[in-house]
Amino acid sequence: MILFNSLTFLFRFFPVFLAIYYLTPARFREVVLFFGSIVFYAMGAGYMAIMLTVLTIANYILGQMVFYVDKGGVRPQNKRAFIAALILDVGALVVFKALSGITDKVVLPLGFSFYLFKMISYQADLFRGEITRRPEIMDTVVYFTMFPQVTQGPISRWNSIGFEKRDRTVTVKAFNDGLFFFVLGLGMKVLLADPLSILWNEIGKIGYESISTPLAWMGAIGYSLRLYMDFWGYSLMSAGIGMMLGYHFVINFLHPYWACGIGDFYRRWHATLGSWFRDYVYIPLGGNRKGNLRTILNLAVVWLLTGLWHGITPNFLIWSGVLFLLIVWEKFVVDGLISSFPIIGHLHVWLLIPLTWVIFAIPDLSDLRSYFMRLFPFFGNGVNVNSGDFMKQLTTYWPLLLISLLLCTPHWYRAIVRNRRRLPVLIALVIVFWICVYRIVISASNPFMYFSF
Amino acid sequence: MSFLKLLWKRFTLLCILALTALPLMIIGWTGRKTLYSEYELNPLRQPGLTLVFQGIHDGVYPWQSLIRPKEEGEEEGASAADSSSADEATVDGTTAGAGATDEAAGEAGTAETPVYTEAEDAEVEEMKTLPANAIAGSLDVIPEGVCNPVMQAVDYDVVNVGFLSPDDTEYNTDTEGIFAKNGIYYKLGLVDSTYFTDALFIGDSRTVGLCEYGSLKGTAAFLAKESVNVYNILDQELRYTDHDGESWGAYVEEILEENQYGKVYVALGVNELGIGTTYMYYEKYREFISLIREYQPDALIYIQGIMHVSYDKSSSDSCRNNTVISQRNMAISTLANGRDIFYIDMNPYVCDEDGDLYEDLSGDGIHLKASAYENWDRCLMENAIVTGE
Repeated sequence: MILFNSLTFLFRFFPVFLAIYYLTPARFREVVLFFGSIVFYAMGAGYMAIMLTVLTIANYILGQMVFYVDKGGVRPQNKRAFIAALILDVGALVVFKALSGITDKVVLPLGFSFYLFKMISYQADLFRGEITRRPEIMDTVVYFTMFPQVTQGPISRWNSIGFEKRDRTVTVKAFNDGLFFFVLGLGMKVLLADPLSILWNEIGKIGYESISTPLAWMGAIGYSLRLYMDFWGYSLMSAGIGMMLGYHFVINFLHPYWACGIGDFYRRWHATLGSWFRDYVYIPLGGNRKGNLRTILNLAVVWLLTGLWHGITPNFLIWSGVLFLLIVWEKFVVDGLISSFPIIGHLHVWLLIPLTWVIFAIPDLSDLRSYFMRLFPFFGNGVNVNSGDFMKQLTTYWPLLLISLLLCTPHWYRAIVRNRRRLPVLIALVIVFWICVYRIVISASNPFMYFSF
Repeated sequence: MSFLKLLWKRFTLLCILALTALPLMIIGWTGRKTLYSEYELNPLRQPGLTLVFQGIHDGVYPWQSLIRPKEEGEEEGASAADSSSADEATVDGTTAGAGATDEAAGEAGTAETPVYTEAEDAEVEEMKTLPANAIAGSLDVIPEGVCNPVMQAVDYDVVNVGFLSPDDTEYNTDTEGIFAKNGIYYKLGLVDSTYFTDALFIGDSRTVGLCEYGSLKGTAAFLAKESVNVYNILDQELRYTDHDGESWGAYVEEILEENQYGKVYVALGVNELGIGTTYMYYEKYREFISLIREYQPDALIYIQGIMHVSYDKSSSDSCRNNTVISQRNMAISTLANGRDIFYIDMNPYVCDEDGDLYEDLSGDGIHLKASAYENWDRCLMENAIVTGE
């Protein structure tokens, strides 16, 4: 799999691609982007690129049949094409998810749930008349396949990223900002998320039943931060590349750990997924306009699907079920209280979200039980617990935890972004880049870097 | 000039990146045949400048090419060669070990016969009053029961042969023994924890785990650190935990020089699984055992066989699998002489009949869980040499 944080991408694919892209006249750049994306995808997923191409073309053709000019309104053939497109896209999604659940022999196509979600949103937007100009073929295929988004999202919308633009001119400002966000994201991923993942491995190595309670909490927080730095870092890299290619910045994370409440958290965390579920599931089901009971039911459907989207082991259903309950609790019980005392909402995020990530992280239910028994040691002691384990891990991980925590507050991040054109910040960023390269080189030549014993 | 100024003004970040990349590229490319000749470079996948970073990691710095441009690959020997060959082997299979093994097999001229044979022609000099746990044997044949047999494991056919040595490799077992020169051997037997009050355990993260979660902390001394292996163990500071449970950073030679132990237990081998061949590992291991013997002339040395990995790992990982581990255990077990160097194997205590580590004893398939270290403790207590008084 070709990752943004790999040497092949950083020093081979991306520079070569950019050079060709910029040397190509602006009106042909989408062609370059399409072929570049297919090459990128095929480097990671091999023959699965054929499936991506077929789905892309099928969706373009069906989309052309779904599209209608507003004055005419929806005709039966538009509706038929829309249903066919839904059957194709939702069908592909369900079949692959189901197969992967039944047998572990099925290899899931790289990033398929991300691009299929884009395809579904595209068809729905067409059907709802939200796309007002007939999509061109190159715009469409690039939208589905563009390499900055094809493997791990974000699930950008047709209308939000600038696909309607005619040519792909890139301003100096967009290029510089794009490069800035790319390097910043790379740093988060390589220098914070990857090393923090070792902490979680350490805890698994000890065995959940034998960790001390402070370490259990540190693990929950460390995992929460690692997940955030990993995914936010990736999203920043993706958005940065997008900007360098002449597209708008896609916001996928908006300081979620600064949110006031669980519901708010999920408007800021993986925001493109959350808004996808809102716009294409929750609101079509009636949203909150059909009474409280119906709202709760709609939320239940959304969270059930969110759970299934992440995985089909029981822990994902528990994870999404707990989030559903917490959101209902916030929305219907403590809403007024949170408005008056925002700190309660913050405490929800800081205390409960890490616990939900623990459920997310541990697929085996008896392991999960052991972990919670250590988080809340009221139900018995652990097995062979070493009370010194917390200090041992803290001595190693405190700098990573501290920097990640600081990045969770909007202030630090905004200060960096505000000063992104100042020389000292740029020099710091270049240092970050080369340290990242060092880490990548070492981990590429030494597969044990993160797992040495 | 004004163009460059404009370029700098408009693309400052890109310019700094390019300006810093340029010298790295030049150093990497010019040094690829000299300073960095030990490393593989696939120009299609990575730029020459990555060599500089690999070098820095292994202590090979760019300025060394200025100081002595012709003497490449001398100091960096072990560590540089290791990481590059590991990489090579991981990527394309058989290349890493083959050459080195031929060479190694050629060198192994002074090999002795394998240790595990029947004790037949016992030439006992003094057999009058043998203690109950003693067995008579000859100097070059170790009787059964003096060392553990090497536990075998099912081969799941995933092994990268670059990490193995040919089956007929002969191992040079030259480690000088000083104990029981008269051909009297002692059986491995049961002891209690007081046996370990003069013991030192040396090893990697697994030994760190034994120190933290086993029952011998505060009884035995431990000298261990995550990620150490036979190639680098002398070069880095390990964590020393003394018989009272106090701990501080220390080097192996420092500790061996300052203290005398009755028993020295060695458990190294899991970090070496992705490095070099069995023979290379074995040779380094032998050097290490000889070094311990030099500093600790009176100690019993216990070579602990490498603990196996779980089925999940062993059936999918081309280097961390029980096929490689068993071969390496076979190799290091030949270093045991049954007189003052012994081989013990904990695998029967933690593995199923296929030789795979029980899944429920391990969180990651490689280490024992905290709750499972008692198995290791038990193995140590049931397999100790008591000389009989």
